[in-house]
Amino acid sequence: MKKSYRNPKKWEWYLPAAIFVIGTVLFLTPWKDRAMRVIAIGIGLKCALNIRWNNYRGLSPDEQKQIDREERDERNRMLRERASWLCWQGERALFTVCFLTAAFVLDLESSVLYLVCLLYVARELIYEAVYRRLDKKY
Amino acid sequence: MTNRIAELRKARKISQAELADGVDVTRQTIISLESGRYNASLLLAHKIARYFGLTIEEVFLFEEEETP
Repeated sequence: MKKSYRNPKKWEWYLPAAIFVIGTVLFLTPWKDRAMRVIAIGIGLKCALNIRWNNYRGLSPDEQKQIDREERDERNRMLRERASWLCWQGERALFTVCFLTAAFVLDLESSVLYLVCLLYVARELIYEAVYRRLDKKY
Repeated sequence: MTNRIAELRKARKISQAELADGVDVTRQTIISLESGRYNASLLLAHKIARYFGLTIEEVFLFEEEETP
């Protein structure tokens, strides 16, 4: 597996903490049998982040500067944004196909159908909210 | 939009890596700029022009696109 040298961002450190809190809260709910799995995921994610951070710290200052520059570089940012947009369009098409296939194949009262529909709608709403926020900001 | 980055760089005997360091982008971005595959943002164009001690218009040549 290719080593990752990217320095983890601040928000990435909050993820395992959030997962850990969710796992802890699950102990107080009827789903306490799943709590350990969730906590294990949080621990695994924290370990992965630590490995990435150690890889980054093991680099020379010049190499660290180069890695940071690759993150900031405008062409790389443009490529990431374009790739995200293309993937978003592809996912939208995939969701539509999945939903239509599920609608024809499954029972209309199937929970899978509603789940796919819910995910699709939630995704579109989140996108619209983020878009409007960015529209106001810029 | 074309540019004279490669010409100016070679005239001053500067490597792509040095130019990339000077304007805080990756060497790959300099390569893409010089080959015309990527157009710099206004900010990057300004940084490059300032690096060479020239104006943006002296480094980047904007060509009118032919209207269909």
